[in-house]
Amino acid sequence: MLLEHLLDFLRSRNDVWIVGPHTVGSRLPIVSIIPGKDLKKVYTKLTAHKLMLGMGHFYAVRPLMDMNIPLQPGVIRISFLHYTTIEEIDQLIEGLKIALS
Amino acid sequence: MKKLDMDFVRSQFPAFTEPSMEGWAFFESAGGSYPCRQFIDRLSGFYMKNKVQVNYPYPASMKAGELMEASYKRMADYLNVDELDIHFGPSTTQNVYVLANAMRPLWEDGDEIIVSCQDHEANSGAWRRLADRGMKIREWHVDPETGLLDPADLEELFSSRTKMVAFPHCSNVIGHINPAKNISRMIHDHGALSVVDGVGYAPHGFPNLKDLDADIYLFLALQNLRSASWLNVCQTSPGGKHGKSVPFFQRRLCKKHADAGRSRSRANRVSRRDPGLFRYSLSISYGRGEKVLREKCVRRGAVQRT
Repeated sequence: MLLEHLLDFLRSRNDVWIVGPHTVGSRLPIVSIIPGKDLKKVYTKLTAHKLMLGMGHFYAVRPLMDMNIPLQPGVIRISFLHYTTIEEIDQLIEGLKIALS
Repeated sequence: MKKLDMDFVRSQFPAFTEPSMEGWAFFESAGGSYPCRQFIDRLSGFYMKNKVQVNYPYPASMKAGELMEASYKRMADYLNVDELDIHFGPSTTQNVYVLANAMRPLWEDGDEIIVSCQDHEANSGAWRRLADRGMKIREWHVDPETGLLDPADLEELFSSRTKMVAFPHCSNVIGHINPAKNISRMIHDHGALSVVDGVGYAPHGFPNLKDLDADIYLFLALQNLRSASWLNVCQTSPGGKHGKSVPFFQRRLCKKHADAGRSRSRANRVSRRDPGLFRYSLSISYGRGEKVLREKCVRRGAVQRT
């Protein structure tokens, strides 16, 4: 399962924080993350790795405020659907390894 | 478990064979998904052949009306609701704004609504602004560590004056699916309406709205492998504990109404039950006067000329 594969990787890292549930139960493939280092730089590196991702608060201002997450730069959001392949998840994981280190 | 044939799936989405997409991996579906070719073909066909006012007695217009009807029917089947409960609107934010304006006159000064702090601003801002117009707003906060909404916290927020609760089926940043059915049941037990933002959830499953029992369910077809249209589903539920939930947006002035409308269409029943509300929401939705609307109704055959 794609989501499980991604969450397994994210949980294995101590330099990135998953916003919301860390396991697949009752979770959709919408995964927001906050890296330990500069979020914008990580995002730029991910884009350079040909990954199309979202960054910001996505007008989910209230939950981020409740969780004391700064609205700027917000979070990096990874979201995918039925047409997403395991190869793309691997490309994402490779990109994250480069961007986070 | 049978394996999903990914080659087949991918071949249905032209974006993935588009040369400019070569090498790129797409992870922003929550912001809007790529549409399948069936949708693109249908939309292109409509723009080329039927982009006219509907239900005039010439072939392009009659076909346009049929296609419009078919879209309501398909959306209704997908959501397991009556097609007359489906309302397309400009955006979820604007739909909620219209809804809030239509609902405010139903409530007294000092009545209360509960808004979750897990929502996208679309299902939050317009409700909160009712504080300027005499409503009391109570906030259902998320857990600061997990980002989750706890139904036990909601239970504490109800009072005898609670009229409505707005919350998301799934937050667009937290990604957790809320037990919307149980929450709706709690809300109904307190005699209030549930307004559920399904924007985050709807692309990932088949929201069975009859089972979910939300009074109003909102989402974007934009994220649903289709395109940019925004839906409201207002479920009428006469006889329930919350039996006054009526559709607030304009009733579709379609052929079906014209055929059934003279006798006992649902729209007529609703307008008889609360004619003031029906007209009010009509004028909000169109931003025009009643006379213009009436003319429109007559032209569409939804009401008799007087």
